[in-house]
Amino acid sequence: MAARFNLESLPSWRIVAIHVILMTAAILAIAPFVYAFLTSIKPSPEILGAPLQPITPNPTIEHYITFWTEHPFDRWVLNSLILTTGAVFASLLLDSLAGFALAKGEFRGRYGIFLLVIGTFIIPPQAIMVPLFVQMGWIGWQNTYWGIMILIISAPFGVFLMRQFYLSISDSYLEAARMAGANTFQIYFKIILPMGKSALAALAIFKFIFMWGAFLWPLIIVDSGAMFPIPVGLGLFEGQYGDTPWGQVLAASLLTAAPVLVAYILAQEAFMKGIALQGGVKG
Amino acid sequence: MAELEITNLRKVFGDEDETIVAVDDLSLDIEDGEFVILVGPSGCGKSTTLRCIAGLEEPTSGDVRLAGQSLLDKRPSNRDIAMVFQNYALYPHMTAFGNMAFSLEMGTDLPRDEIRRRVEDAAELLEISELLEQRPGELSGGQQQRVALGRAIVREPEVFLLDEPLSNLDAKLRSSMRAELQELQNQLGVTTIYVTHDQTEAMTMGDRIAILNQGKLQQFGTPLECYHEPNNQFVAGFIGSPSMNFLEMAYTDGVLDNGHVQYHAPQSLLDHIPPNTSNLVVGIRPEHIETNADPGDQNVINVVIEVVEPMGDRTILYTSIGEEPIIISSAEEEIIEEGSEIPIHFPPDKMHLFDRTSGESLRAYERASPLAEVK
Amino acid sequence: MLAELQANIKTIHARIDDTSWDAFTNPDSELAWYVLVGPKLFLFLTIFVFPFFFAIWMSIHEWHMLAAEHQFLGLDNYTRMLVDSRFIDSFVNTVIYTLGLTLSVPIALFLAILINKNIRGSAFYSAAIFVPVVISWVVVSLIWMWIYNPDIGMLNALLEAVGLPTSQWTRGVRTALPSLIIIGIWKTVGFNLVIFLAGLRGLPESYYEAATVAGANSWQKFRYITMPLLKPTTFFVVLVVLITAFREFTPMFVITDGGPVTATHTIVYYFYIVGFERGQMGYASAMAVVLLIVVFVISIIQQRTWGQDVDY
Repeated sequence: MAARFNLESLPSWRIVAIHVILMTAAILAIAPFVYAFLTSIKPSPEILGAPLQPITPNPTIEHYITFWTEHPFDRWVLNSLILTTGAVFASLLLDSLAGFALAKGEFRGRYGIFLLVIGTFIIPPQAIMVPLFVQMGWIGWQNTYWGIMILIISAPFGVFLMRQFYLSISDSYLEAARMAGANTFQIYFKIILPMGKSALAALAIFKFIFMWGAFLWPLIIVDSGAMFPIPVGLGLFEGQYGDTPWGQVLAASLLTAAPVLVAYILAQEAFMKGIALQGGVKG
Repeated sequence: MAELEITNLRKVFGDEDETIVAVDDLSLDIEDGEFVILVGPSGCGKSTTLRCIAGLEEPTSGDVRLAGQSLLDKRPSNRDIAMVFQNYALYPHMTAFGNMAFSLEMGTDLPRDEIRRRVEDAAELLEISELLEQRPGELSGGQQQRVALGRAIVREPEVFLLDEPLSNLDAKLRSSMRAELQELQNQLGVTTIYVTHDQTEAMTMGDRIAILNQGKLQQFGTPLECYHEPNNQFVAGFIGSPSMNFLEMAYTDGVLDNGHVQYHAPQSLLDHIPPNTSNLVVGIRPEHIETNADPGDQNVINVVIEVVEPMGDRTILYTSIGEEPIIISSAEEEIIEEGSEIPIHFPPDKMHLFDRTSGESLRAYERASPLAEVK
Repeated sequence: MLAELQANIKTIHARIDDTSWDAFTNPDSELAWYVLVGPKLFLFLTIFVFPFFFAIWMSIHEWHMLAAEHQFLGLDNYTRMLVDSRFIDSFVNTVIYTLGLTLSVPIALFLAILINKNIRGSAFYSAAIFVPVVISWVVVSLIWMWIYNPDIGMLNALLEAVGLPTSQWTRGVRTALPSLIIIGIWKTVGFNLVIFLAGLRGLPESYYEAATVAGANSWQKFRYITMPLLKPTTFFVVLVVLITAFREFTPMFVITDGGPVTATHTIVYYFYIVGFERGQMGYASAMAVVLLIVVFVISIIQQRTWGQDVDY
């Protein structure tokens, strides 16, 4: 039962006050993006000369065009798409398989492996980036898609999440399937995978956001511009100039944020769930 | 022929430090086509027994044989047994058809149209033909129940196992499903084991009921046998509602005494009391206590009625003898006031006597005596 | 006799049928489970567990990125941190940044309680406040970099327009770190808010009804019902904020490049410079080990002081 408060008990002035506070918070959260967009369609002199003027009388997409033509942005986008697709699918597969085994399997070492999952939670990824970089060198994965994705794919979070979810599925579903003659793999593909769609969707969003926005590890492991995912390309691009071309910086930022924003607007609930999972898992 | 024999079944859970005996030396011979109810309080081992038969648990020792063949080496899917789970375990992502066809697709090499035919036949039998394309989420509890039954029926098994299948339904639906299940079982003639903790289901549905407590079989007999001739105090208290009244009484020279009342036992009762017995428990069902006794008669007890609950067809009266609460279920139409004193009487042929330490019924003593054998 | 024999033979056949199944398809086989958990387990071991020990090993060696041989140094890399003023600055800045970000917790709790009153538009408000969470740190950093720009940024322009003093923001030695803290709070509030909302929605309504009947006012309800019941959630939110803030890197790298001077050096920022720009991987690994220990200690302290009755 949700702890909902009785509307009638709130006097109207308090409702107004609450609206004012929440509206302020919402505006503060969104305004930078809106203002960045409005600025990105201003001609350069206006960006420099009239930062407060909200709507330009001379809207232009020149910054978008300049940015796209002068930088290999399409290549970065392609890289990011490959990386997110790969990381999301690999994570979903491996995490749901392992989560299923840890939730429902009966085998020696199950508890030990679960403790290992919990243990790796405490290791900040940054703490292992130096040795991992060296290791990637050993197997020739520096500056490769695999090298970039591997850290996100290996994260323990997804296993933990999927295990929690599968624990909530009653054993009787699996028992019914066993009595029907299904083996462990058939149970996974025909029962567990379809029944876990909502958790998989949340995990996919979570991994998507992380891979799409990942910065430090790709920065470390990638050394050629052709392999840059968008965040690395953007993060390094700004520093190339003495005089930052703000119109282009903002245009590029918004182009990068756009797919995530659109997806977020279409599936807010799933996004909030996906990100808040981190909290839901433990809290 | 598919008689199911459970022999000395034992199931122990836990590790070396702590063990729980879930099923303790249980033996049941169930005849082909019989409808047997496993009943008992929660934790009595009835579900574990069912799961051992299904193959979902491995018994610690003992055997389960179907038509003379041990099932223990077989996988659950090869045992010719279908099970209906308490929560139905219908796959939410499959239609009713998909759910019913699943086990045939997984466990058999039946051709597609044969599977379709079987599912449709079962659906017709269960009157859910028009629901086949719906998913469980779109079905009511009763409809889900039918799909779950259908899933078991399409396998055409030798044995049905039903694990509290009605416990998720509301009271009205439950009573109509009780009758329907019985009829269905009759029609199909498949040996059925039905687990429940509900004694109404136990009394009304089965050919025989097996009453379990703490992993041990208490009694295995027809519902009426269990009602009229309970083996022990547990069965006596478990079967019947409101449950049987018990009075701890001392026995000396033909007189039962609990410090508040004395009961001069007639010969018919004395026959059941073994020599050298001094402590026993007297049981009498609420519906067997007579409330229209003549106050002057021997063995009449005067009690004060504390609470009266009129139920319409009968009246439940709450009173006590000494410290012991006594419940009376009276069919008399005469209105009894709360606080009034009435004379009650325990008819000797309705009284049950139990050994106070073992709880065993002493009526068995008579049956075991040479006298009874002659009779 | 014969029937019994036949039955026995049947049993044996059945047993052969069952056990000769491929171990992969036998539902009772443990092997299938190992196959399921195996790939992920392999990744854990190679991508987390091995590097974890490897990092410790590297931290006691002189390990230059391009060198072929690595000289054993003992604890030199660790003692070096104590006299490296840039590291000390980084450490102090990280602590300040992390503590600063905990301000997002009460803000989020306050907003969550208001949103939970279910006035019209609650869903919109929470969705809007959550937007900064989904946008990647690089994008957020670039946009705020522009906002903070002392010459052409909108923040100074705004302050000027209303007659308030302007600031150097990220370019001022004193103001740079607080400026980054503001961005951090702005980006974190939405996350905390959603978790608090989930926590609040899980509280049983009957408690509040009972309190209302007993005549409790809103403050008393908050103080005696919401706060104690929300303790596990708060505990978790604080923990997540501390741990994520402690390893922040992107805004320091993109917006301020650790500067001015060392004003926005953080542990991970300096770690990156030392390990990957200077190539001193042994020293960087020692910092990584320190980071690991601090994150671990935060979790433990948190658990001990606050989380005693938190069950998770």
